[in-house]
Amino acid sequence: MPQPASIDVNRSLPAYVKVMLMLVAALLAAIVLSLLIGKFPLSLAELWQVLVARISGEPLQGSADTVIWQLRLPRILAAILVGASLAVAGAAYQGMFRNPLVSPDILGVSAGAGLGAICAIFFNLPMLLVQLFAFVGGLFAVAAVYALASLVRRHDPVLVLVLAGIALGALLGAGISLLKILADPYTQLPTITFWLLGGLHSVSLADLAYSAPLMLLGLTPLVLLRWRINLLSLSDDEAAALGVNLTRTRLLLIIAATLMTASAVSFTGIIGWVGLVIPHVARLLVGPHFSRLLPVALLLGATFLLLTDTLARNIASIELPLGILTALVGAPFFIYLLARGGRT
Amino acid sequence: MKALLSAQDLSIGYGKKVVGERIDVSLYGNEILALLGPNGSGKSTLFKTLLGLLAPLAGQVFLHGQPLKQHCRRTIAQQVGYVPQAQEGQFAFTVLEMVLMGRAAHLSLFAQPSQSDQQLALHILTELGIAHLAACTYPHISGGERQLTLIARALLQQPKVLVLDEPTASLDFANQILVLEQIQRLRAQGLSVLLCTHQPEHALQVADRLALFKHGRIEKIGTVAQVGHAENLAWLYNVSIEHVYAQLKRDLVK
Repeated sequence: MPQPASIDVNRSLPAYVKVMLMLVAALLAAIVLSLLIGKFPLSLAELWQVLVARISGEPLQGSADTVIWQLRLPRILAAILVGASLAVAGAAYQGMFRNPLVSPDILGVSAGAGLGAICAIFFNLPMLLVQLFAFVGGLFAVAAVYALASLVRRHDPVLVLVLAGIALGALLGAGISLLKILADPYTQLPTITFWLLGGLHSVSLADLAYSAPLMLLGLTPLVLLRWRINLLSLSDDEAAALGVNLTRTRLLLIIAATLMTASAVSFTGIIGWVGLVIPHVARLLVGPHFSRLLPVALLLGATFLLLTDTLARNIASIELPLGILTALVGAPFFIYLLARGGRT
Repeated sequence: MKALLSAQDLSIGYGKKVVGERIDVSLYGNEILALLGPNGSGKSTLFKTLLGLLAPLAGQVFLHGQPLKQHCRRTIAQQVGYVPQAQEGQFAFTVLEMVLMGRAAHLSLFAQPSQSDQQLALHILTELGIAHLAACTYPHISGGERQLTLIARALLQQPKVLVLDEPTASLDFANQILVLEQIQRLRAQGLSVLLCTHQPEHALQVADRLALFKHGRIEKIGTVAQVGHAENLAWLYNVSIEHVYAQLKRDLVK
């Protein structure tokens, strides 16, 4: 009989450390790259000068300093926060709904936040209220989906939840289309369209100052429940028989993941696919265990969105909406997942 | 003798659909009780109700003499381990990760399994003879190995009662023997086991008592010697006695 001591049970630990180190390095490289390139290209030496000057307390006068501190750094921070939030929320949704194909988009969160924001744009409300409406819309969508799903008791609750999300998403989509038709085609429609496609072009440090704490607030329960969330990927009966209070745990996780999604969507618009694709890649790298999945998805999502955003502002003479680029990567990947059975 | 897990005048079912009525059954300490019944007789529904996963339509389930509904999921899980039929699983957790999930009932909401929990898990895996699989991913091991993994997970709950839903279904011959041996070993260690099976010969082989479940009722219950004879099996499954004899004799020849 084999002896426990001889078993390498932590076989994935060195591999995991290696993956994490590589991801941190990739994120740092992406940050430097994103600081350097753009309409106003900078060399590494210039970047170094600007950084050293700031740290020593005597910031350089001139455009390099402004470009880095006023334009690129807030945008980089935003890309990192939004990418990380969407990826982590997606990983949590996939784990707790036992379905590798769900994401904030499929559960109606994004559409809810979208309708909220467009309502505010339609009524010419200030930007702050646009963001608040987006946030409330996202929470409302999930609450409605969850309430709808708990009314239908006969079927598999997870399937019902996902289907309710898709149905509600379609309904909210109809609402969005209606507002687009009713909107003023010269003043409101361009704003709505650009918002729906998502982007980080208008992000300011002030946006980050109140979105970042909300994202962190959503992240905290996910970190604390990083072991227990694994049990939700078993069947409901199994998890309950293992002593899990399903309703309470799932509700807590849904609120947390929705908070992260809605606070991201509320100031960047709808950026699809990140929450679906990144958790998948993360699972391929380190397996489904959430303690390892969470940090990997977080770093991967941050790096992915930062690179995509850097591409979006450099690829053409005008800036491309971020949502188009993430869809170009995400949609083929989704089809690939469906083709191989949706399992990692 | 005091029952660990018992049902009194229990009605089971889903919503308006009544699956079984007036069920009385008790599981005592250190015994194996096997539930036999034809397909669709409501065995799984009865198990779910006994585990508190499904609310009874009428009557009550008692754990240690206390109504089950007075317990929360956590305290039930500390007493009763459940081994469902092994499914492939949607995510590729390792066997050790799967087994450690059995520790949930003993951990606080935000806690993770400790080093000693991991030692315990490895000890149980070693006893079940599958310690070499600890680092393998659950969807990629055989059906028998999955069944043993789920048994290991239930044992990590350190329960008094083990409820097994068709533990030998879809297993090959060697794995059937393996699982049945392990069930007997666990009883010898002091656990009480409630299981259902579609193979009467398995029940006759390992059980102390048999419960014959038909038309949503426990029609006969008693020791294997009292209940487990050919006439009863013929009646239970609506087949001729000759068929039962032929089947069991063939099993003996095996």
